[in-house]
Amino acid sequence: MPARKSPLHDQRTAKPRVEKADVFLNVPYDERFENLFLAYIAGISAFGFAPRATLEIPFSQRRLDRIVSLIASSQYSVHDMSRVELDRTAPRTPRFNMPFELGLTVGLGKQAWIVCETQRHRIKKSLSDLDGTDVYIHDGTVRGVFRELCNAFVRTRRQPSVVQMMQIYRILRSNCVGILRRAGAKDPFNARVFLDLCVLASAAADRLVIP
Amino acid sequence: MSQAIKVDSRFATPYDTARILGVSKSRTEALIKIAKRYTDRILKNQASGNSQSAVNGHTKRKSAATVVGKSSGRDAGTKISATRSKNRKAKG
Repeated sequence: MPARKSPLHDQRTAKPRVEKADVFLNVPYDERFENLFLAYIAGISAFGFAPRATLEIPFSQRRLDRIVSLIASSQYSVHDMSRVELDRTAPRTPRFNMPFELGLTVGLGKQAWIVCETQRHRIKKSLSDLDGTDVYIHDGTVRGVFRELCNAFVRTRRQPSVVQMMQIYRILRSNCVGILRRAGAKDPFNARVFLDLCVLASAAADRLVIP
Repeated sequence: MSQAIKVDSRFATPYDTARILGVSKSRTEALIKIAKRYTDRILKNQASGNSQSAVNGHTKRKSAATVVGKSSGRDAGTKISATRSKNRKAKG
């Protein structure tokens, strides 16, 4: 049987259109990460970007191809490597999706990507291949995420402040329950909820981050 | 010291984000309306120099002196109705 062509190879030959405003968001989808997930959406939207995530992709056989396509079409990407420990549910495993998607990004030859972590120096042990790469440490806090996004990205016009990001975050928090209820979801790691949160954050950013 | 990524692309509007993500027009309009409601309150507070969070609905607590004399409280209402019923009983 012939080997299946790598989606990475397909992507190199196909070259999808890169959306300048897209930021691929590679974060763990777990309950304990909910606040930081909302913080990333708020922070990325405050910079005038549209967050993209694998949540948008329905589970199917072509999932990997779609992930590669999503990364390739995004101008920037943010990778959070905070979840390296074993999860609670059996069988207990670490999460490989985040480092895998970071690997895909590097493999695609993308230049503008950043890595975030909760703990300083931990990544030197968990992913030592990244030695020499600057890792943004957010300390597992919402404010920390905003601070590090401000360190990572600089806008020539309409540079958002941490205060504005916090305002957007609070708007998302205030409306999260309603959005979840409307989508019949229990957590925000759901395609419909994610899309609603992104548009809401973008609408808030457009009005709060004034040129 | 890490090198920051310089961004010079256009600031995405909610319509851009909705188009990229494939959100319907009606839902986009509804979400913009919600955002407007909250941001209007924030901007209004900022304009009036109030640093308090408008989103959480936190407002300054009125002092006891301000509240005195107001009869719209729940207890006051109960009191009025109790007095009325007593009056009715006396009449009956």
